[in-house]
Amino acid sequence: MRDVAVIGVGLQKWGERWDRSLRDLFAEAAHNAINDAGVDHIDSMYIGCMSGGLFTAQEHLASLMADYLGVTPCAATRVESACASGGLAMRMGWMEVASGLSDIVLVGGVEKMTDVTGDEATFALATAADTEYEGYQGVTFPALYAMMARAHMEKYGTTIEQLSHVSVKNHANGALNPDAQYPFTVTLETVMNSTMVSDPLRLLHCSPITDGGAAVILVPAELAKSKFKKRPLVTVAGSGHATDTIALHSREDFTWLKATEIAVKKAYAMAGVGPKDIDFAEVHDCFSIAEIMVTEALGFFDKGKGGPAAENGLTARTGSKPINTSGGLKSKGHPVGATGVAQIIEIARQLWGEAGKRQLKDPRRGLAQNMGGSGGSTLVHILERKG
Amino acid sequence: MKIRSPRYAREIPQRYRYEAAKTASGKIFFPPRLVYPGGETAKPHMLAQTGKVLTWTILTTGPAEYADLAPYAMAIVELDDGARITAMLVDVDLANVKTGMRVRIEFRKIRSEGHEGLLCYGYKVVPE
Amino acid sequence: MPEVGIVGYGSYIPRFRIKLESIAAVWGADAENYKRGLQLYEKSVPGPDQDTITMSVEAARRALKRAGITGDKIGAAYIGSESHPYAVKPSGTVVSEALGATPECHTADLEFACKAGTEAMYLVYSQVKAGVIEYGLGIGADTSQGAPGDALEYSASAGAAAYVFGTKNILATVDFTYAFMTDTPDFWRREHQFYPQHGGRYTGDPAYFKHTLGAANGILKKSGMKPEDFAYVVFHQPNGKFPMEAAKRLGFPREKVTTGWLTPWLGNTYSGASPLGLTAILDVAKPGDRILMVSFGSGAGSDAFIYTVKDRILEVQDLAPKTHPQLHENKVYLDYGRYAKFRGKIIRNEG
Repeated sequence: MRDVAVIGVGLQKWGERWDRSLRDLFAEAAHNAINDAGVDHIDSMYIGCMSGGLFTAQEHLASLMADYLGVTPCAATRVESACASGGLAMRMGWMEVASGLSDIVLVGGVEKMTDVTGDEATFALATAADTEYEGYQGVTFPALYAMMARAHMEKYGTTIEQLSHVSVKNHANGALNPDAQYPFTVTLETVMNSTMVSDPLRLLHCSPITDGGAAVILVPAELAKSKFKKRPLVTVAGSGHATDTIALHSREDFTWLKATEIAVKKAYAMAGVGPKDIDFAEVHDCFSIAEIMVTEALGFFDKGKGGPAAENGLTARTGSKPINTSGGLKSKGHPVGATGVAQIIEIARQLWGEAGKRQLKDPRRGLAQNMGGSGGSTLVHILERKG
Repeated sequence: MKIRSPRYAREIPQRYRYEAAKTASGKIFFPPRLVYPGGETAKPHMLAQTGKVLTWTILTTGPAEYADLAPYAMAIVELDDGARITAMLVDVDLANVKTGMRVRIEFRKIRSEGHEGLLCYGYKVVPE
Repeated sequence: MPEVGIVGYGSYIPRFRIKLESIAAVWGADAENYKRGLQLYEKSVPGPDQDTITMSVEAARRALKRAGITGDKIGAAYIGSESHPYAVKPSGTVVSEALGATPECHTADLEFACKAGTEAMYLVYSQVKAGVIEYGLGIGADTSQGAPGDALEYSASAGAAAYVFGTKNILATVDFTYAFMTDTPDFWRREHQFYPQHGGRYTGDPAYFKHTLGAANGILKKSGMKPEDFAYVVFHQPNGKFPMEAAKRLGFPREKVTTGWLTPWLGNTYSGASPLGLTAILDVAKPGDRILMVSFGSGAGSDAFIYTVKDRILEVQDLAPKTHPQLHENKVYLDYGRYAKFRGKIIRNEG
């Protein structure tokens, strides 16, 4: 397997983009990535998208996106793993370059969520759960994560303040991100007093509905070293992928994200590192409790200690383990299929020193964790700066 | 998306009669499956009708078809045979919902597919 | 022919209630006047997730528990209601499926205003007696509605009662049955109408009393019995007043009526009315007690039954929830707004 480098990235301002269709969002992000990388062609492309069908009545994204990016007859593959679709696209693109099959692969993700009503969007998102045994019974995604939150709070004493600190921190980071959907800070009081959505989760503990696209260009490290030298070499050091049961009620422990634990162990093993070697991470904060649980499953903090870590500033931009310097899903937005790819973009930018006001001091190794549904699928990637 | 007849009728044995399956190693699967983990086979098993709440939440807004019921409680219930189900917890004062409370299954209408579509029935839980 | 009787019984009453005052306040009516006139204080209200089918399933499960049989033993199941959830597709198929009675089971939905429940009981009793089925299930259940502001809005309520009939393990024998029926247009509902029409005072003597007394006198004559021979009597109870008046006219003392007299706190559960009253009686009856039951359904007609309670009643009363606790405990009171929302009385967009 060859080492694979990220050499270019592209996205756009995320939010309620009434002016952009599904195909526009992808084409724009992909075009930006191609220009940023300076490649003159691509060999293959991957499109992560949860549901072009339920949101915009559009499938066959392989053909549509290749067409609207102007790259037909290029090979194109749409992948889906609910909210982990972007991370899955990254893994597929990485595999195609690592295997030697292709040299220049575009990994993209996109979601257009505002062409339907709020109820219709809620329905589309709910298809990431068990339609017959969870959705039919009356749950929504906030409800599933709320039940995980309650279990975590009752088992470990995690508090609503700790959850709220995650939102405050992510907004503090997102306020420095010009592409974020909500580039403004929020206070702890505002978060704690926001409208109740599903007890104990309030509006500001929940990621929003967002339109957006994101794309990166992957090439073999050798090609990056010889032809794409304008930036430090950043390579994929590890990749991990795991599934868990579709329904939350089938999990052994509601307070533990087992798929994340298994996926990250594979990524750590491939990279030859452990949690202590990760300088910063982009994790899947679809709800504040998710970030807390993910940081535990990644091994950054002991079981039950994710809440105190957030409260005590360990995961702030200036903390010992910065999490979600991009603003996370909460502040940056969560166009479902694009999220996993945008995580890679933030990691690459931090490693290149191009993270603007969010820049960390000399990071060398970043981790992206992207998960689908209530944790039924997880992708983890570790990127390293080699120079 | 409206629920149409085939998808509804197929789940009737589970939604009306709680028909599950139990593997030789004692694990209960609800619904029963065509393929079980580890190559095991399973025998029919009827779910226990009573159990306790493992975790819960109260939704302020539900999906469109359930909106009239809001606010409502959802719970993951561990039945007395060890099986787990996700169900709406009804006939309860929302302020009294607690982890560990005892509940039993009751037959209820889950949703209507508009004014003209199917009436869909199934299981909810009530305080025991 | 062998003895035929009730082998199991079960009742289901939803938790929600609305007080008469809450309804009267909205329509500018005199609550005290209605309460006095109807002898009715509050009524049950079904939740948005409850209907004739859901209540029938729960009542029937309780009846099967008391009967000590599994659902597959049921050879026929009939549900009488004037609020079947589908106009075409029987409530009976859903209920039978839920009980495990399918596929070898007869069903068809029944309607005869408030006496559809006793019609269901009569049909399965007859099939058991004829020997064509071993066990049959007769259910009376309703979530009927009265038009907003109309007198019937004060009483139309929700509940279900289920009876298993058979020849083995009888807890109360059916000794006599009698039907009294004419074409009397006292109350009806045309297809596609949401609420029924009624004849006001015409629903009294020419309808309720003519048929109730007609059936009662008919069965008393047929059986050669008198009021003194009975421990309990239960009539159809559209309000609290009518059954007491019927008892008075027939010579039954008030005390024999009160155990099965649920309407003042339950409202009129239509097809469930006299069947639910009977469950309350069976909950406390003793072996040897004789019970007279006379239903009434507008349109119009009455079914009468005479039961004699057997020893087995004492073994089964505690096997499932009794009726009085369901009626009086764990109640949740609604305001008129929530009641109107639950009962679909608020104009919404289609679809």
